[in-house]
Amino acid sequence: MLELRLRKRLKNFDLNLALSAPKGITALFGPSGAGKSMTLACVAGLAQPDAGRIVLNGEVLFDADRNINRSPQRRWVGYVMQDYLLFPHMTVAQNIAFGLTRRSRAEKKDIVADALRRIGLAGFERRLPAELSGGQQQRVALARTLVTNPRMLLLDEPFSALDESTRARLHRDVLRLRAELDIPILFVTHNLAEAYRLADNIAVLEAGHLLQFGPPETVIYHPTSRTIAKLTGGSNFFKGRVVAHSPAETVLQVGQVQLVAPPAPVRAEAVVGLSIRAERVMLIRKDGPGGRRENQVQGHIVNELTDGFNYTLFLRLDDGRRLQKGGYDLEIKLPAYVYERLGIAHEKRWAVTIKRRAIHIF
Amino acid sequence: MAAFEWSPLWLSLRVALLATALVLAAGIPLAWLLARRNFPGKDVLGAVVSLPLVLPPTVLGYYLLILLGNQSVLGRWLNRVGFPLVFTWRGAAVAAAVASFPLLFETARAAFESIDPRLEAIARTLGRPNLFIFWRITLPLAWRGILAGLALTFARALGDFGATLMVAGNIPGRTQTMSLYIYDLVQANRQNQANQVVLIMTIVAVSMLLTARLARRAVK
Repeated sequence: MLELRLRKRLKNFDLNLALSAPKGITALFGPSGAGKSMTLACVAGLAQPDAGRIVLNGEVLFDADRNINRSPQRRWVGYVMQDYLLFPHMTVAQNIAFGLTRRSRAEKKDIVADALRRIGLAGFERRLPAELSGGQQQRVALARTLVTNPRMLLLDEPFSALDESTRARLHRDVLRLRAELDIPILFVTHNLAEAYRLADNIAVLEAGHLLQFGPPETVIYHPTSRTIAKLTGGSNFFKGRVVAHSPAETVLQVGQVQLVAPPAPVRAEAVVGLSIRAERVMLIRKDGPGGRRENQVQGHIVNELTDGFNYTLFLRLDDGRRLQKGGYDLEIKLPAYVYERLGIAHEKRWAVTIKRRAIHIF
Repeated sequence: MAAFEWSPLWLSLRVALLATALVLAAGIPLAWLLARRNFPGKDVLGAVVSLPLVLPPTVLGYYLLILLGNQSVLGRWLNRVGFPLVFTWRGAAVAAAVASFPLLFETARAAFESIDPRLEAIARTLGRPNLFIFWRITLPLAWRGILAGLALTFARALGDFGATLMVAGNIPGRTQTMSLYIYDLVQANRQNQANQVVLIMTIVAVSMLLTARLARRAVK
């Protein structure tokens, strides 16, 4: 368990953060320059907070009030960065053995050979870092840290420089590590899919502050503010007026449309912000059973984008029943196979249903 | 044709070697300090140690003469402990060291600055003491730059004239280095001997320059 509370004056903002990271993976998620990397540097002892306290498994690593500041050497916090930072003049074996102290030559050799086997690089002992691919270098960097038996692990965007398939492989490695190691792992990323896939908890940071902390589903599907919804890939942001609210539901007037949303702590007549997750707006099949669906509206597609796997449709609502002014009302995301099966290429007029679960009020 | 004296060559080599050793001992820590640490007066310190590069050697020698001579506390103390520098070959080495100091200092500083400081940071998280990291990471990554600086320092120390003359004088057999010897030979109109000495000095200087260039090129 890592408990940290720190304040540090930075160039553009103040880092002011309190966080508890249990065993398992905690993703520090946020835009670049949010203070994520600086937080890691403070935990590793490579940067010094102006105030606060950092405690790992009950051991005080840093305490400004009590003048405790352990050196990085005495924290046993493993640190892996985006560009691997292998020592370029040393072989793979020398790199991995660098942190092995008070071991005989034979012991070191065994540990290195074992570590290389575990990362699938057996026999790579005498290679130089420059002779390895990015993914191989990152695995060696991980091994170099892990052989020192760190009490926690800091991963600073470790995979962002790698291609998609290498990254997927390393994701599996990290998940295996989490199962084997039983230590807190702080993982900095600005890739939401990566955070969702790997993390037990996501801490959303912006401008040095913690905005939300919780399991990935909570952070992504129950963001507590518009900023978080934006950071976690939300779209379709509106302002709405509370028409009615009960323990079962909230009814909002958005533009000329009334939407039924999940219950929320709001007052009647209050103007609130809401977002509608684009991948949770459903097109209604024309050959399906009749009857009105939840939050059903009618519109036509005015624009569409695709990356080859997914489509983003821009729907403008008809009959003057608009959600907002402008060229379109709703952004809708769907997989390519759905796009093809529904024949959207030839049919642009659609009724859609906005599931109440897709609506977040903040 | 009278043969030239060999003793100035041996003296020059001795002076230049001692000077280079002094520069190495003081220059590496100072270069590292200015490359890696921030402290008040850092810029001033960097400018002061680079000053010998722009000061006329005689002016530099004059400062040293004042500092190390009997007029100063330091000079009197050196005399008392039986280690006078003025008018000795050791003094010549000190003068040559100060004059050539910037050459090593600047190249070593650039070499240290070119190393990603995060390599040293990562090494610290791996539990190794800072001195170990300096020996195993910092120095090996900077040594080519340092070697280039050393070659230039040695060549400069070997050829120093002005500063050495001011501090150590021109005493044949005691403080007369090659540069001073050449001057005497020319004054005495002994052209042939002067030619030979000049040739030796040129060969040494060019080979030092080549060493520096080779070391530098290997960096890239």
